[in-house]
Amino acid sequence: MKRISLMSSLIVLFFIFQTSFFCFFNHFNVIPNFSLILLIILAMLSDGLTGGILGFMTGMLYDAMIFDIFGVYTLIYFFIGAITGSFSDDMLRENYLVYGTITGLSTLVMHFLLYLILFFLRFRVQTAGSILPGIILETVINAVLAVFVLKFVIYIFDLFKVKA
Amino acid sequence: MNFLREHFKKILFFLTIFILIIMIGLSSIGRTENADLGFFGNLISGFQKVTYKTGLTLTNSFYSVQEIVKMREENIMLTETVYSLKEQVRILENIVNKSDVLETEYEMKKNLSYDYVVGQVIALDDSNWFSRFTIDKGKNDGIKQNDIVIQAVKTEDGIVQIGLLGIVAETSSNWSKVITLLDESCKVSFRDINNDESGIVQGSIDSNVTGYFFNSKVSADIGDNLVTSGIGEIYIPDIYIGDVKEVVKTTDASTQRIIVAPAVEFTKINRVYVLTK
Repeated sequence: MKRISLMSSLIVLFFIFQTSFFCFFNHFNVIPNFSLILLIILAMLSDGLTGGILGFMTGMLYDAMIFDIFGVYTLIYFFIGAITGSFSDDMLRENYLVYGTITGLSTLVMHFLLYLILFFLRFRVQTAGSILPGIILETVINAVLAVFVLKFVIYIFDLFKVKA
Repeated sequence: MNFLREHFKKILFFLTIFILIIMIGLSSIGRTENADLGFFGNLISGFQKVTYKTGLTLTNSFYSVQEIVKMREENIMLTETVYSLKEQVRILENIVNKSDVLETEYEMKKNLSYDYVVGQVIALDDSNWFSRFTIDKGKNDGIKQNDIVIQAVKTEDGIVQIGLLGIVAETSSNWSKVITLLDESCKVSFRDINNDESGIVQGSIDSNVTGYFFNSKVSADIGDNLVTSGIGEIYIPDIYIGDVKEVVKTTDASTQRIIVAPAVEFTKINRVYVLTK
């Protein structure tokens, strides 16, 4: 219970900072997605069910506080959280490179799913090609930052004496 | 029963996805309302307000140190612009005062005032796909869905509008979500004040604001000023949108597409004015 409460608090904290603080650091028009990085790390440190719940929570925060169509971010983050959590047992949790790779892959999956959903919602996605360089740069930045976020998460878990 | 127990997680996973897809469908056609987080949402928006202000102060102080050198040059340039604009106003007032009709219209537009609520931006979704932000005022302050959001400055003579920012998409008790002009789902009917023709401008995923005229034979010039036309009764007329930046011929060559440079710089929004009609 203490573990899930701590994870949920981190999700909310990262959401607040992502939407109202990190937006000022959009150099090269790219903002790293700390909410996604955190979700991947927490999902990898737990299982599919917890990953799904945390993903659902992250997405719901975005849908409720920012986006006007409910479910878009909830679906994407739930899917990513649940899938990452389900396969986390088969991954080398001690290897930092795995966290970076999964975070990078998840960033691409997130944008691909957004593309698909927006296509079905009749958005003019033909112009999406122009944002591709930004997405690739975001993928690389997210993958690199995953290591630092992991270190931070482990530090917080140790601080509250919760098993990582 | 055993099957359910064995595949519980898979069933839960696919059921959640199925329900969420239904929710997206219903929500996109306006059949269901978005989740209202109530007290928890108010708490989060309170924290967002604090962090946004902190971030803004930090970046402003960083840039102000960086831009001290530029400020002197900018000051000289602005003083020259003010002189030139004053001269323009004198000439225009001279023309307007010679015609009773124009003078009446000028007085009417000058004294046009709306009720407004001043809001502070507390969160931004400036991701690749969308351009939205949240402000710290909501239903309790009299804001409703479809209210117009502009950037303006308060002077001794009243509110002077800088330009259109967007529209209120959703309101909660203490915060509101705003879709900006750059967002794909924002469509605005405009009037070109240079040729008095109307059309539609729309944001896009690549953050370009593009548009077209209703009358395909009309052509625009680079630098033409666009204001809201008021057609559709969502946008109040005569709110400044921006200038025509580029005119592009479409593939069929019979119509032309305009690319608009919005009047507002969307990366530096802080205080906004919501016109409550």
